[in-house]
Amino acid sequence: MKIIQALATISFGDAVSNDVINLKKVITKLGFETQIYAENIDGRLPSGTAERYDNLCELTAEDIMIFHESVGTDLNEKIRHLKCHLIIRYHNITPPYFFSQYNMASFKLSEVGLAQTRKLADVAEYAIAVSEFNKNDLIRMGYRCKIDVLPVVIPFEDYEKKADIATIVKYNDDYVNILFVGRIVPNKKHEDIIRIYNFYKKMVNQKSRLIFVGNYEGMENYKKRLDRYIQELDVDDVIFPGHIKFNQILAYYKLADIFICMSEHEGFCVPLVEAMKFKVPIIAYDSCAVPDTLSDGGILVKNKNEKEIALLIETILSDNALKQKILNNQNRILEKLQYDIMSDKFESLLMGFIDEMDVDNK
Amino acid sequence: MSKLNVDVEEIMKEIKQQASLIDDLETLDFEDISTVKKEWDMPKVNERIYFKWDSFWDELSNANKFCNVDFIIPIPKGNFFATVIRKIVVKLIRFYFKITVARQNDYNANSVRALNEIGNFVRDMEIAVNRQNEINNKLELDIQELNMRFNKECIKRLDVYERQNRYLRKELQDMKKQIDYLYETQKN
Repeated sequence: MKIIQALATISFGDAVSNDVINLKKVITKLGFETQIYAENIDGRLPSGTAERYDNLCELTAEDIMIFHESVGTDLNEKIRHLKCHLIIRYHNITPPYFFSQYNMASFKLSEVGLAQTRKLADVAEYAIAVSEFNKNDLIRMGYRCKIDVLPVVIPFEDYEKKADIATIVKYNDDYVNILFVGRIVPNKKHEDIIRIYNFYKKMVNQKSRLIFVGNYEGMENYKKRLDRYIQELDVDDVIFPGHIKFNQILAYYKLADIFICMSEHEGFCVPLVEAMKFKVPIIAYDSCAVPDTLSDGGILVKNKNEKEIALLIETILSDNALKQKILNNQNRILEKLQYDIMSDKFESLLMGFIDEMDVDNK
Repeated sequence: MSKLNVDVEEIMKEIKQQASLIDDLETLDFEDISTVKKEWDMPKVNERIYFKWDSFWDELSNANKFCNVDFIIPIPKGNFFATVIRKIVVKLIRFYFKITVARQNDYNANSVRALNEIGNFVRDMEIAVNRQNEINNKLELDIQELNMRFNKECIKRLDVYERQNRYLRKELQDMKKQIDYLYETQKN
């Protein structure tokens, strides 16, 4: 029996791609023949990590395909006609309305992706969503197969690597560093964080800076609008490092005093877990999959009142006891997301599906 | 909601109290920022890639200055006999070259006049493009203005509809309660 994984694009350092690679390790450990197939393969990945989907091996009715759904792609149509068993690993697709003002190609891709995901409900035999939020999305889309939840499998040892010294030296001062990590895309609502920071800097603590780590490829119009917003607000020390190396990202996490997330659409939000790993207290807007990922960690806010959140930042930073309680809660959540626990859970879910397959065949 | 040992509700209650003592900061909404700004996104219509404006006018100026060729070339001073022979030769061939030179000058004049017209065309195009840029600028500003007004109006109307919706829902709930009450009363 072969257990194959497929996705549209496998990139270097991307959350979905890391998840695929880690699941491959588990499948290999279980002794199954496995491979990753993708339409696009990032050249920075080690040779042999994945093969082009065009070279897909022959699959029989006994084999299993785990298809990672996160974007509109031709693959959604191709896999419908495969003979093998189909498992959908749903990472979520950003609703198209977020892109309408900025990028029509992304808008259409998102629209198509959601329609294709709905159609896969007919052929999916099992689904593994990365969050309860995503599970509910699949149910709303008409999925009647069994759906389990398994968070993104994250390789925590990557975060033990050395952080970039130059970045640390540059920003390690008496300024409060407010951090958000994530692609510069409209659903992550960077403008809300800017508005909160604007109040914080002008009315609470002038010695502060806001750092947005993430690239904006394809969302240049949104980035320009953010730049103009910052200019109109006349607020200083907002930093967009752009496309940076992994060791620089680690440096920003180490420098961060607080992590703010005001996203209105996330399928999981790996940066929240990263912030927990680096012991940065988190304030996040209670929306989409954020409460699933944060659970009891961090502080979830129900509105985006900039005055209240700015004062909340100051309260957390000035009250060590409160900050420590928040970090303790975050550590508890982090324990549950450890690589070994997630791998064991995936193993259990996969073997459970295979056992049910065998029973049905008999 | 209380979360283990962090009482978020309590914290937010205290923060709301603190917030009431701090002045508000008048902040521009993100919705007030247009998605497109002309000088960052729209390339200039008269952006030149290959045409070198200064070079063209320099060359045209020289062509205008030197388009007439003088068929009489001053004989350089030198040896007496050589100079005399050169002068005789020039007088002998003068009749022949005069016609050729005259024809060449006519052609040069025509060419330069044509080039001058091309220069005038380029100037006219430049003026037209600048006018078009002004129109584009004005339209851009009008679009931004309309966009902002449209967004504001949409938000206002949505707010009104939401309030109406809440009111109607409440009315519906009240009516439902009344109906249930009447039904219970009749049953008893």
